[in-house]
This record gives sequence, C-alpha cells and structure tokens, in this order.
Amino acid sequence: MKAIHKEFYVDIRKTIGRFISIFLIVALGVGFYAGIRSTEPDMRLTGDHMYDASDLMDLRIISTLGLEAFDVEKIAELDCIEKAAGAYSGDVIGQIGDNEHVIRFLSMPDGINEVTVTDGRKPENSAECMLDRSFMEQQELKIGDKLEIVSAGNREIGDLLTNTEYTVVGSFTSTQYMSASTKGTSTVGDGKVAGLAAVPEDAFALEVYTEIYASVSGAKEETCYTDAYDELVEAAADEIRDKVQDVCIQARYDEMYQAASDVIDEIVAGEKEVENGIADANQVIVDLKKQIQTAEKGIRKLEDGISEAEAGKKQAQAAIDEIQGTVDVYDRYIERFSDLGYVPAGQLTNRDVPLEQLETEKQQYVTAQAPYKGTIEQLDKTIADCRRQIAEIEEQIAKAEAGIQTANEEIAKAEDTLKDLQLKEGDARAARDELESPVWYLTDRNSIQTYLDYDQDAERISRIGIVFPVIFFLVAMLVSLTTMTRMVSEQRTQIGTLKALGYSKFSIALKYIRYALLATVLGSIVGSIIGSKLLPVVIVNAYHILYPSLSHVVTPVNLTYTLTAMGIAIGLVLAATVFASYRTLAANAAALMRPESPKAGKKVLLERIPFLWNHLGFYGKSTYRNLVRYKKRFFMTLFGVSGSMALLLVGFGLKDSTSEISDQQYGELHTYNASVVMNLSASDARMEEARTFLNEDNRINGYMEMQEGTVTASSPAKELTVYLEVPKESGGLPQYIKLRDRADKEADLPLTDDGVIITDKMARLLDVQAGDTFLLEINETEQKELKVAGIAENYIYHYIYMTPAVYEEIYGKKPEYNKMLLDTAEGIEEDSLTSDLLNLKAVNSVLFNSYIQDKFQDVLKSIDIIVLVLLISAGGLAFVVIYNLNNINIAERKRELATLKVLGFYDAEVTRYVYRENILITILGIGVGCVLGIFLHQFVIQTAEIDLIRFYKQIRGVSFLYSALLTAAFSIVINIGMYFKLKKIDLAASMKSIE
Amino acid sequence: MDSNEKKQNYKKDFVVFQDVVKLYGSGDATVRAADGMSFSIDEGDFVVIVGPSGAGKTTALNILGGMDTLTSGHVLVDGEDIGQYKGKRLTQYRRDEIGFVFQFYNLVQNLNALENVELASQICKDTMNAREVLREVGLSDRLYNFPAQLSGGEQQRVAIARALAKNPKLLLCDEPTGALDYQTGKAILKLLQDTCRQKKITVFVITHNSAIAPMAHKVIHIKNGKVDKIKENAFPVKADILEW
Repeated sequence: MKAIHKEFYVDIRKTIGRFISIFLIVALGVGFYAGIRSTEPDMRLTGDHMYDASDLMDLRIISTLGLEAFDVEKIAELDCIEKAAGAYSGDVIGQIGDNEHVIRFLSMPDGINEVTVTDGRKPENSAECMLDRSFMEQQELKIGDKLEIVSAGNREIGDLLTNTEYTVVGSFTSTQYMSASTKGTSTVGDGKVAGLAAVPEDAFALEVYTEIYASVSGAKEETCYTDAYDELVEAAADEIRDKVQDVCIQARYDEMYQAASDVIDEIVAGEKEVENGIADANQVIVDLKKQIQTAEKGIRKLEDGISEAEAGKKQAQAAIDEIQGTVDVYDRYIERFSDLGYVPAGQLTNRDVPLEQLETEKQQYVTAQAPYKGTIEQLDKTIADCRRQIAEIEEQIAKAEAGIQTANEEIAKAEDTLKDLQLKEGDARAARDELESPVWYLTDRNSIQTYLDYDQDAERISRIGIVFPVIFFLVAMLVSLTTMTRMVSEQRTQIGTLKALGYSKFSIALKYIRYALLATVLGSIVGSIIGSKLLPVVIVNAYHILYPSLSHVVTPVNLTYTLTAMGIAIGLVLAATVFASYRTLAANAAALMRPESPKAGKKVLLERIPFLWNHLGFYGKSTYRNLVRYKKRFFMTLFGVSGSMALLLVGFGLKDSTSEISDQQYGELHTYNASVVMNLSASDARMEEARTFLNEDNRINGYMEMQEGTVTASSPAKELTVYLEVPKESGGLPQYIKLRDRADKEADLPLTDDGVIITDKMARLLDVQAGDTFLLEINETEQKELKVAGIAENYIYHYIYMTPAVYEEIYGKKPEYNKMLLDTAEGIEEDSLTSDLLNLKAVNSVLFNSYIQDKFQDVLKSIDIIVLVLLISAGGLAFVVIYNLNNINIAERKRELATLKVLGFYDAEVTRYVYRENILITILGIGVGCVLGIFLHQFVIQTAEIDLIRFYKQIRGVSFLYSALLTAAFSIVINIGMYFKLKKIDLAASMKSIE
Repeated sequence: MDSNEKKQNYKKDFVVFQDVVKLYGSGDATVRAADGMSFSIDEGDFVVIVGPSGAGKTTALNILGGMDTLTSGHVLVDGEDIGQYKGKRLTQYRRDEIGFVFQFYNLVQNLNALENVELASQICKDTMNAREVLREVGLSDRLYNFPAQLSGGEQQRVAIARALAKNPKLLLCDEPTGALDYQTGKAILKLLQDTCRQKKITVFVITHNSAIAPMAHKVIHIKNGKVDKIKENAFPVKADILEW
C-alpha cells in the first residue's frame, strides 16, 4: 500500500487545480455557514462582554413620584440584587456655540451603567460635564467648549440643574445609549435627544432620584439575551415587586401625604394668623370708637360749662348794668348840679344834699360793681379753658378715626389674604385628596432600544446564515462530482491496472475518497477558522456605524457550527465521490484497459428546429451539444453562476425590500407628517388653545384627533401586542392614514361600526381573515371578541382601527383622544414647528414621520453589510465554478483545441470556441439566478423579517441589472484569467494519441 | 495519367527546404531535430517521407505545416519564405494554405461529419462545399453521423474531407493509416492519391511504413535530422495495388 500512498500525494500535486477547487468551495461553504451562524452568538457574546464591562443595569425602576434613598436601600437589601443605585436624569435645551440641542443630562452612579471615557476626563465638579462621543463628533465639538442651558422645558432650569453653564471636559460612550443616531425621545425642544451629558450628582437640583438602576446577583455570569439571563432578571424583578415595591410605594405615599398635609397645616396656620389679625383690628376699632364717644361726652360737658359761664356772665353783667344805672343817676345829678355843688332839697330829699355826699355814695356803687367784673373775667377764663379742651378732644377723635380707617384697610387686606389662603388650602386639600400612590415601573434591559435592536440585528444575520450555505453546499457537491468524475475517468487505465494487479475495489476507491476527504477536511478547517474568526468581526465591525460603542469582538470558534458544517460538507462530497467513481470501479479490468469510448455527440433538442439550428455556426452547435453532453459540469456551473446571481439579487433585493418599507409606510399609507401626543390632564382651556393653534397655524393643513393605545390581541395562533387606533371621525381618516387592500390598492377600506380593520401582518400572525374574529384583552381578566371587517396593507407595527362607537361598545367608555395626526404643509421647518407645538401646555410630545424614516436609514446601513458579504460570497462562488469548469474543459479538450489551432484558428477564435459555453452558461445562470433569487429573496425576507415589520416583497428592476452585471463581471474576470492558459496550449498536443 | 504530362502546367520547386535547422532545448541538452534538411518538391507531387522514429519526419512536417518555427534555413512554399512567418501570420498560413490529416483523425466529437468539415470551411476564404467534399470521399450518406458513430476509416475520410474543404496548397498527413487496419489503410491511401491527382494538390505523407513508398512521386528518406536520400518514381504505383 506504500506505493499507492505515494501515488496519492503525487496525484494531488499533479491535480492541484482540482484539489483547490474542492478545497475552495468547501472552505467557502463551511466558512460561510460557520461564520454567519457564529455571528449571532458572537454578537451576543460581544454585547454581553461589553455590557458586563460597563456594569449595565439589569433592572431600571422609575416611579411616577420619583425615588428616594430609602427605596434604593430597600432594593439593595434584597439578596437577589447585587447593587442598586439611584440616578438622576433630565432633558434640557442646551446651547453650544450658536446651535441649540436637546441634551439629556445623566448622573454617573457608581458601579452601574458606567460610562467609558473616550477622551479627556470625568467631570470633577458640578459645572463640568462630558458629552457622548458621537454627539461630539457629529457636532465637531471639542473639550473646553461651553454648554449653556437655555431651557428645561416645562420646569425652571434651577429645579433640575444647579448650574446653567457647563464646561465640556471629556467625551464618553455608554452601553445604555449605544446608537449614534437614536438616543431617545424627549418632551423638550424638538422631541429628539441629540446628545448626552454626563455630570456629577451634585449638578442636579432634584430632590428625588429619577430612576434606580439595579444589577441582579449572578446576572453577569449569564450571557444576556439568553433565556437563563431573562429568567434570572425576571425573578429579581418579581421579588422587587413582591417584597419592596409596596412598602416603598406606601412609604412614599405616606410621605407625600404628610408633605401635603404639612402644606395644608401651614396654610391653615397662616389663615388663623390672618384671622387673628382681623379680630385684633376690629377690637382696635371698637376701642377707638369708645374713645371717641367718651371724648364727645367730654366735649358736651365742656360746652355745658361754657353755656353756664356765659349765663353767669350775663347775670354779672346785668348786675353791673343795674349798678351802673344807679351810678349813672348819681353822675347825672352830679353833673346837673355841679354848679351848685349840692342838690337842692326837694330834689332828692327834703334837704339839700352835697355833691361830695353824692360822690361818695356813687363811689360806693362803683365799688360794688367790681366783684361782678371779677366774676366775668373768671368766667371768660373758664370758657377759654373749655374751648381749648374741646379742641384737644377733637384732635383725639380725629386720630381715633384715622386709626379706624387704618384698621379697616388692614382688615380688607387681611380678608383678601385669607381668601387667597383659603383657595390655596382648597387646592392643597384637593391635591392631597387627589394624591395617588406612586406607580413603579420596573423595566429590564429590553427597555433600552439599542439593546433590543442589537439583538434583532444578530438574529437577522443568523437567520440569513441558515439559508445561504445551502447554495454553497450544493455547489460544493456538484464541484466534487464533476471533479472526481473527471479524475476517475482520467485514471481509468490506472484503475484497470491496479485492478488487474489485484487491488480491491474498495482500496482503489479509498484513494479517491481520501483525495476528496482531504480537500474537504482541509477546506472545512480553513473555512471554519477564517469564517468564524473573520465574518463575525467584519459584520460586527460594520455595525460600528450603528453602535459606535461596540467594543472588541469576541469570536470563539464555535465547535457546534464548525462540526455541523464540516459534517455536511464531508457527507456531500463523499456522496459525490462515490457516485462519480462507482461505475468505473465496477467495470472489469480488461474493459478499463481500453480507452473509454468517447461520449458520443448527440442531437440536441434545438436541432429539431432547423430554422434556428441552421443559423448557428459550428461554435454554436458545438456549444449546445457540449452543454448537453457534460450535464454534470453544466449543472455545476449553471448552479454556481445562478447561485452567484441569486446571492447578489438577494443582497440588493434585501436592500430594496427594507428601503421600500419606510417609503411605502410613510409615503403611501401613513401619509400624515407628524403625530402629537396630548397631555390628557391638561385643562380644557389648554386643549382649546392647542386646537386653535392647530387650526390657525398655516404650516398645518389639517389635523385629526384619535386615541392611540397599546393592547394585546390574540388568537389560537398567536398573541400580539398591537396599537389600537380610534380616529375621532373615520370619514377624515384617508387624509392621514390610508386603509387599503394589498391586492387592490385603489380601493379604500371603509372603517365602519360593523367591525375593526387590522393590518395584514397581524392578520397573518393571528391567522385570521376578513370575517373572522380574534380576542382583544380589555383588562387582565377580560377578553372580548372582535370581528375583522377588513385587512389593510401595512409594513411597520400592527394596528387595529376601530370607530369610537365600537370602542365605546367594547370598553364601555368613550375614547379619550390623546393623539393628533398632522398634515403639514410642504417644505416647513420641522424643528421650529416642533418647538412651537411643544410650547403648548397641552402637548406632550411631537414626532415627525421624517424622523422615523431617518432612523430607517440606519437599518439600511446594516443591510449594506449583508450585501457586501453576499457580494464577496457570490464572487467566490462564481470564481470556483467557472474556474473549475474551465480547468476541466481545457484539460479534457486539450487535443481538440490544439487541433483547432492546427486547422488555423486564431487564438481569439479558439478562446471564443471555449468561452461560448461559459458565456452561455453565464447568461443561462443569470436567468435561472433571477428566478432562484426571487424565491430565495422571498424566503430570506420571510425568515429574516421580525414580527413587527412586514418587508416589501418586490425587488427593483435596477437590482436585477446590477446583479446580472456583477455576475457577468465575475465570469468575465475569471475567463480573462483562463485566456492565458488557453494560449499556452501546444499544437503538438494534437498529435498525441487518446489517453 | 503520368507525371510528365502533369508537370507541364505545374510549378516547379513549389516547396523548397534549404538547410533547415531546428534545435530544441539549449546547451548540452540541445537536440538537433532538423539538421540541415534540404529538398525540393514540385507542385502536385505526392511525397512520402519515411524514416525511423525520432529521425525528424514530424519536425519537417510541423515546420512545413506552420506548426513550428525553424531555427535557421529557409522553407519556400509557392515562392513565399514561410520559415520567416511568426504568430498570427503563421496561423493565417495554416489556415489558408494547409490541410492537415492526423493519425487519430482529431475530429470534434460534438460535431457530425458535415459540421466537422464545415468547421474548416467556415474559416477560409476560398472553400469547397462541405457536402460535395464528403461526397467525394464517399461519405454522402453519413453526413449527419457523429464521429463516435463512424468507423476509423470513415473518421479518417471525414478528416481528409475537412482538410480538402479548405482548398489547401499542401495536404500534410501524419501517419494517416497508423490507426487503421490494412484494407482501410489502403483505401485511405488511395483516396489521398486520387485527391492528389484530381485536385492537383501537393500531398505529403509521413509514414514509417516504407512499403507505401512506391505510390509517391518523391520519397524522402530522413535519418538523424538530415535528408538521407531522395528517390523519384517516374511512374508511381497506384495505391490499390500496393502490398505490405
């Protein structure tokens, strides 16, 4: 057996081209299979490493009333929780340079959701921040730039952040925000988070944490995206729900209640104070009034005194006047009788009376007047005194009256205050009465959009990985079949000789089996190593466009996939080898010693159509007969070329299908331009304000109100989360959302009270048709049957459309229109309209469909990667088969070709003679590939598409063109390479006898 | 018909070899495949080249047929020095002037008899009708048979027809009967001889069977790359009365 061994290696050396053919196609098949299949686990593993390295949270808890250290403590106490940390976040509008952006501020809790500093350093005080790398790159920012906070939406900046200006000191990446383009939606600005800012905790002015991040014990050891991981985290979430949530919620509620009560008490205290003030003031008024009364009494008494004095004065005056009369009498007598010096008798008395006596008597009377005068004087004094006192008292009264005035004013003021306080108290009481227990939302990593996207990307790649290797394996089998057939027939005489020498059939066959096996095993090993090391890296690296924070790719050789692929390859190649050699081996030695009778040329079908046949030159005739004569080769090449074509078509087709999704969805079906989510708790006035704005702004052509909600729909086939859409007026619907049948695109499906319209993919998943029913979950315990009135074309998500009447019938309440669909004018500035809308108090958020369409462009980028991989594989496939075909053709027909040369054929003519076949197969292959590609494309998009999306099924014409041109180009390149081999054929080869 | 009569309107010295030297390899390994061959042939001659294996018969034929270049010397065909031809010019010479008949027929398996002849006639300017030629070689009822359906002699006839269809100046045959049985071989030789006479084509036949020498106008004996001797037959024997 030694000699046969030696011969084996010599054989390989001599037929290295053939050996390489098998080796290459097997390597390609196995590599592709192992590589693409490995990409999914590798991507997950890479993700897991990355998440673990950054301590990405397993659970996130948010509460409607914020969270506190107590909550963190309680959660951290649980055994199932390894670590819990409170964190702050909030969205603001920040200005850097001249541009304003929506920036999400994040605190950096220790040991959880760690950010990776990619440049610069971490912020060290509350006036510094890091920005995320992709934002820095997109905006061309640098360390040292200043970020100024312009607004914090509905709240004051100071309520959220302690500073209004931040210095950028570094850049970072976060596994929580992996996507470069999608960082989340926001209620401020244009509603789209543009950049992230990481700041120390003390940069936040918030009193409570906005969220708590928790890592689950043992979750790091599990690989994320696996069921084991999900179960572990779900268990921890349940434990939080069971053991902590209620306690914390109660505590928080009590606290909030207490706080509300405190506020009320404070107000009430304030009220009392004000009331006391009013009472005091009233007392003051009473007192003052009493004072005034007393004073007035005093005045009256004084006035009485004055009158009395006046009377006294009058009496005294009367007395004086009376005496004066007597005095006057005396004076008259004195005057009249001054000449006499006496008063003759008879005048007065019967005697004369001297004047002196009279003077004396008069003097007595005058003197008697004096006391009266004194009395008058006295009384005048008294009067004056009284008058003064009255003036004084009157002054006091004025003062008191002013006091009353003041007090009254005070009271009025206090009453106003009181009214205010009472209102406040009412509000505060209402607030306290309305105070609801906070609601906790426990979410896991699935709430991180990029975490989900990444998983779906991995899954997509994997699903495609199942489909394509089939082509490679089939071609590998055909290549082996033709190659080994050729080899066995070349070595016919040798096989005969060995047989004659007494070697058994099996030991001879072993040589060919070993030959094929060696090529296959080597190909498998090389293919699987290169494939599973290279493909995941290429694919994952390409995903860097979407996920800039993706770290180093982890690519262990995945033994399962490698061995599976190797097993398949070996099985197929061995089967081909045995098939190729069994007939020759079965023949007896003598027959084998004779040259194999050349395969007879045969009439082909085309000959029966003389009109066509007679127009063919001998090139054509020979070509057609060759194709028919060497069927294995023909099919190998045809399958290879058509496989190549099909792969390209699938690649381009995938791109078409994906890009068409958003074009169809937002261009044809959801023709509204933006959706506005309303704040249902806003006051009616605010709502009216919003409606007025929508009606009057000339950027808006129209709007439609509807209720949108998420519901669970189920049938025996499937349970789905879908959107429930209740347009206020179904008549106006077509302006915003086209409900139409897929088959008859012109016919609008009318939305009536007879049933609901559901979207097509949903119908498919639920396995229902128009007229069927499915179940809608009303609440946790109740389901209601809905009748499908129609099935509408749709590409993204699932929707149930129903009229308000149907809604009311099912839910027993009227729909609340929480959403407005806008039809905006052409060419408006979406950003400014968005901020104008967000300025309305009744508007919660605004989302333009153009934004969703942009997001889709990112998905397209990941499809580009797949297209590239398919392109390379298609090239490899075309190369191997055409190379192999040429190799065999040239080797086998050396004599024929040399003869043609002797006959005087130019090199170009000889080449044409050989290539005609290749060209024809290439053309045929392109044709067959089109058909194959269409089917494969259908298959791929059906397997690759996720439940939420329905791919557009058609491939664009230009994709056919590209694929055909590329396939032709592959063929041409390889054929050009073979031209030189043809040129080298020696004319003397024509003289050789038949081997 | 005799040779003298023929020669009256035939060109003399139609094919001339002058000191033709062909070396293969270099240095010590140099093989002198043709070592100063010289001879001259008139138009319409039936020439038989004989000699032992490796003497240089095939080399001479290859050079004459434009399949190989020479190292030195001159080969004149109808006055043209084809020894100077190279590349495409040489191919063109083969194409237009030479008919070649191989030992193993070298028919294209995929083409039937008629198409194999057309294969040659398609590429030349001044050709004969393929059916006509096939009729002349006696295959008018085998036109649509594939080589595998024909006997060795029939295949060789197709090969001859293919060579003749081009209306060549020279018909070169390399051991045309080497793979055929005696009777068939004789029939082929007769066909070649008749062709030579009727179509006035100069025919060269290489053989190691000197028994067929009498049917030639000229017999060139080659030995060690040189012309050993040239024998002229004034009255060539008809092929069907040859015995070997």
